[in-house]
Amino acid sequence: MFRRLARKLGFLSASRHQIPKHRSGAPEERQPLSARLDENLKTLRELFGGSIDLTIREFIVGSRPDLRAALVFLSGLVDKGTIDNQILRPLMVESVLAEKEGRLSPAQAPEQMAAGLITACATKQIDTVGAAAHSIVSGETLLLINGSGKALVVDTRGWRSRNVEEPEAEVVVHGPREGFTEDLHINLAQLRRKLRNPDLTIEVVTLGRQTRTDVAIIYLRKVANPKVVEEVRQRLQQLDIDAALASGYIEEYIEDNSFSPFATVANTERPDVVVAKLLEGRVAIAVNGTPFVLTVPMLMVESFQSPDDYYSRPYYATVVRWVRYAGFAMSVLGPPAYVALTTFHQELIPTPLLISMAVAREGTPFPVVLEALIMGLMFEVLREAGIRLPRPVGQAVSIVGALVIGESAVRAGLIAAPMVIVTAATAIASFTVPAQADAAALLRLSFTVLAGAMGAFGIGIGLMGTLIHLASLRSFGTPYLSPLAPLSTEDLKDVLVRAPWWTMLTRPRAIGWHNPWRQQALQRPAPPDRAEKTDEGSGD
Amino acid sequence: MLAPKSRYLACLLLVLLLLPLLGGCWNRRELIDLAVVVGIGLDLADEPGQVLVTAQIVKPAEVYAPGEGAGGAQGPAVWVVSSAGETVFQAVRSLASVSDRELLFSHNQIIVIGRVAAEQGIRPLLDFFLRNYETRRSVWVLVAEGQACDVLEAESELNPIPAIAIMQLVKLQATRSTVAQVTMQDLVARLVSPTAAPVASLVTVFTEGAQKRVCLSGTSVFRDDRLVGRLDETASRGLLWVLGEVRSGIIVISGPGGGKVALEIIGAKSRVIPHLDGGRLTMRLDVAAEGDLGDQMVPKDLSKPEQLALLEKGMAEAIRREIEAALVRARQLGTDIFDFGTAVGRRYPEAWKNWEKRWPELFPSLPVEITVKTRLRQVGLITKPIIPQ
Amino acid sequence: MGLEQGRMSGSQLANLVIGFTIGSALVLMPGQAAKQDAWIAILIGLAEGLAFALIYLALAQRFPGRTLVEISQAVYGPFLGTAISAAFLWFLFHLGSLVLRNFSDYFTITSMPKTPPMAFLALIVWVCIWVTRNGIEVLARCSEVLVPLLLATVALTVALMIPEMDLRNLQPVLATPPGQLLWAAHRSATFPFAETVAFLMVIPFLNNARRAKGAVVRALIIAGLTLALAAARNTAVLGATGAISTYPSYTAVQQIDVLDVITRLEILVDTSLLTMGFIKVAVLLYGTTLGTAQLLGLRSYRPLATPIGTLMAILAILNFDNVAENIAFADLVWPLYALPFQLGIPLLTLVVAMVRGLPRKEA
Repeated sequence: MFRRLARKLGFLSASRHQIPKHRSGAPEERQPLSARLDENLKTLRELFGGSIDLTIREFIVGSRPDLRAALVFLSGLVDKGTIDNQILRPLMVESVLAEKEGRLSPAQAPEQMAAGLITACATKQIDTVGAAAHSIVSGETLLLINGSGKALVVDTRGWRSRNVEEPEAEVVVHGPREGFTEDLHINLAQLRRKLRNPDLTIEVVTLGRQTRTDVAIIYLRKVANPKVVEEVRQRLQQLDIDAALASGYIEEYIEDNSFSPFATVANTERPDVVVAKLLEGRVAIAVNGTPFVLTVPMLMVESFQSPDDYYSRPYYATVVRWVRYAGFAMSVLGPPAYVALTTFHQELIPTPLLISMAVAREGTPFPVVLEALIMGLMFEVLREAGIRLPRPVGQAVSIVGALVIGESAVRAGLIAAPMVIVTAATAIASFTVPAQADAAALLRLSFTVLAGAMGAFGIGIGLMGTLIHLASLRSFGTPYLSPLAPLSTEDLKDVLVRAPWWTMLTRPRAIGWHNPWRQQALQRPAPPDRAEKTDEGSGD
Repeated sequence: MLAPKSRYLACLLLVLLLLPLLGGCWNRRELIDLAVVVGIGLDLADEPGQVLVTAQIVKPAEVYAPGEGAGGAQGPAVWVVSSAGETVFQAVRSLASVSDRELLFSHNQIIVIGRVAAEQGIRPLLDFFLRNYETRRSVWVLVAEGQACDVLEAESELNPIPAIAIMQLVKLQATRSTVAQVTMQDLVARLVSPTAAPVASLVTVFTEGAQKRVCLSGTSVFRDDRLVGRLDETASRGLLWVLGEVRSGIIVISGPGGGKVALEIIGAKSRVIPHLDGGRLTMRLDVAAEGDLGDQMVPKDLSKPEQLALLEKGMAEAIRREIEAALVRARQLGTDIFDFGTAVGRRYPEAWKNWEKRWPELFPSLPVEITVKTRLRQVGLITKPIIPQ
Repeated sequence: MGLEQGRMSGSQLANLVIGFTIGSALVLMPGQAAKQDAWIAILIGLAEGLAFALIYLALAQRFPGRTLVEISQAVYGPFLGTAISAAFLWFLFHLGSLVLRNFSDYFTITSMPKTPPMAFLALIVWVCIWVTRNGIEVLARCSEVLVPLLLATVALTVALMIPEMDLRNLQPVLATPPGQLLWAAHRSATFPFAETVAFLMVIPFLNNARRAKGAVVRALIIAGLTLALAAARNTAVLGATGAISTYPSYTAVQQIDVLDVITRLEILVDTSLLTMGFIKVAVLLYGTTLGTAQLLGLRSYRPLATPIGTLMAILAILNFDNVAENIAFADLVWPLYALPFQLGIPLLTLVVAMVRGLPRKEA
């Protein structure tokens, strides 16, 4: 439906053809570095447009005035101690010593000579303006020496980054407390620490014409479906975008069906979740600069699984999972059902309840549909305000909202009390499945309109439309409703219930079927006298 | 694929088609535009050939509203309104001339039929209630001793809505089992049967001071669809024993030495077995009842096996008398209120084809063998009566 | 082939057949003419329907991967084949419109009398068109979700109705005159069991052709038992009053009353009609659309879904002026009208194919 609408809008597809592609940057960036230092410095200054954080330190190597050199870096991205101790000191002070000892031969190319002096661990040579600029913006330090057309890049990256903290968007009771940070390398290190297996493969592509963001594709080589990996790689490499500031930018470009309210790419802030998903055979995409890591393919049922399910005992986890299903149903169907019941199917309400509802509705001015839409809108406004405002103010907003809408509106006879209850219950229920909260809000809105027009019949049609849509969705080729449709009975162990770990022998059929066995069978714990071999490690 | 332009048109058409849906007026009814009918009365109107329909409607503003303090209404929170018409449906629609809100029938609790109307036949009166999609078949049907509208105008002390009070009253009769509880579905089941006679609860209005009150006072009996008589409470329970519908109730028998003993019925089963023996049809009726000792006004220790056996015997005797009272009354009225006909038809489908037409003549002379088995279970928290030990 | 890229599994086909067969039958209840023996009539009808289904399966297995339209082209040649295919497609189309009509009648009578039937039809047909355009795979997945839910619903209503049941209402067993019983049985064979002839347009898209037989037979038996159970349930609850009901299942489910709170569960019957009727109409619409596209040699069947669906809805309105005509048609005309399509075409095609030794093996 949405797809058709957008096709009508047309401009989306038009723009794709009209804007010419130029992936490798402006021509001046491919221009080779000059052998003259002054000229190079001038080029770089122009390239950076005189940014104040572009620092250029000119000096003389050792005691040779003929060897004029300059360090170029962006202050703030570099660790100044490294520059002082490992570049400037060797070149300016220790080079004099080396000269005396005769270790420096004048015949050497300047950059080789410098490389021999510098004590920093990571250096490389480059020879174009573009590469030079790229290293500078990456936080590396460029060493230019007069008389050489090559520059030495020294890795001096060092900036203060956020500590690893507990993720705020996904809180668990029993799980690990660490979350991803904005730094890709820290994130990758977290994954490596958890999954100490050489099969863990990390590929990096650079995305964003302007931002040049590193994006990592992460998967387990012997577990992930190579087709999916190839698909991810292709979709990412085909991207020609301006910026990749957050994973959300990329998410929208790599979805199978972009006109769906349902998320078909999962994201998480938790390394443990990513590792679990990698182990199921999924592929993760980490974007530098954002703590949210994407995982694909995503299934509908994933939205209802929480890391806590796997850290607590299976029985209660099963109950909680069903609570989540019910919560989602409630958050989608609450107001529509109320509208349908009160305006079309009064016979379905028990008599005493109907009478007390009639009492409550006496004198309220708006039709129920309108009441539901107003309350729904008010709730969304309150939620948005509560999130965006600083925390103390946000609380004030919530209190005012609750008082004004909950109390006063009812007292003034503007809104019937049952509607407030339904809205509040819906609001709470919608937080049980955060992954699909956006979809739930949209469905709720459209179902409310349908219910107002055709009652339960309208809701039924809406539900069926949703089902058709869900059945037609795919995430990287995997049916979204799997394992329910197409049905894969053995995977219901993690859908209808959360089976105990020792029964979860296989990876999900739709995702990790290349390497189905997760663990040794028959590991059910038994009392010592009956125990056979319970301590066998996991056999892949 | 269609050309983009026509797809666009199709899309637009669909949206246009859906627009009136969003306007939504066909069956949408706001709660505040509805009058919730909780009781309906059916009488004959003064004009000949016309039906008088009385509706009891809830007044939401008068019902005690939660959270609004103890204010609110004195007296009933209902409005009773009547209207006449050529048919039931016409009369119902005519109520709209006095009611400013559309009537909602899906929460109707009781249908009361006036005596005179019931004597004229109830089939024509009930058609509307089965055909209409709002009315339920689980509604209780009662026959009024007098006018149905009087029953609906009566008040109730504990419930602001009298029709709901009457509905609860009917339900509560299960603790006495002296009035047949009949829903529309039960009534219709008997009306479509060629031989079974419909029955319904009987409701009487009496005045207490200035207030009208109602009580349930037995069971009304129909022949075909016309009211022909009533069963008193004893005979009513006799009927219920046969139907296996006795849930609870009190049986009072004479204890040793003349004082009274009350036994509480805690359960009963019955089986009706037609028996054909050489062309002669007899009905065998097995009733099995269980009871507890409820109270005794005899200063004698009854908690001994032989005493209890005596009580059991007395209980069986009492039950048999109740059943016989019902039988006598049914034979007098010539109506098969026990639905023996269906039982015979199921057992002897071939022979039944001959009997079916003659059943009204056959039924009164049908011999019935009654077997009653009783058992007493508990004697309560005291075993001996309050006498010096 | 080529028009449909999707494939489905055996269990998906089974779900489709169950949903299709139960379709509107759960609400309209076949076999009513046999009164308390309705459930027996349904079981006999199931046997007849199974016999028909074996013919369809034999035909489908003889020409794996080909729909009836393609088969008849191969068997009768282009001219006669087109005529027979067109007649068969008309049958699917007409049947679809009849189901749609039942649909709007039901909702008009039971809950929304003031709503114009076109409103119901437009919405349900829209959903069916949507799923048809998405192909057989998506329809199969939908049925995989809906059918188990429906079977659970039927089981739930039976369980909740146990207190209301009086098994004596089922007596006397087999007292219906044999002629009447067999006619009722035949009627329940033509509606709904033998309507599975429509699956001659769907079976070719099975990913494993050998699964077809097991799946269809198993599904028909499950659907037949469900319907027989529902018929027995209705009789046990309603007794003779079921005979005057337009929709016995609806009236029976109305009787449910658990603790005065769980009442008025008719909405479950509404749901079953909505979901199963959806599957039935969607399969018929899909069959008609795909068949028409194959007949006309189009490159895609998808653009046809909207016009054919719209026509189906319009025909649903034009079919009958009132419910009485509909009942008379279902009673007297349908059991005979359906036979040439349900038995005639498949059997004739199978016989001619066998006589002509088709399909010829190329070896």
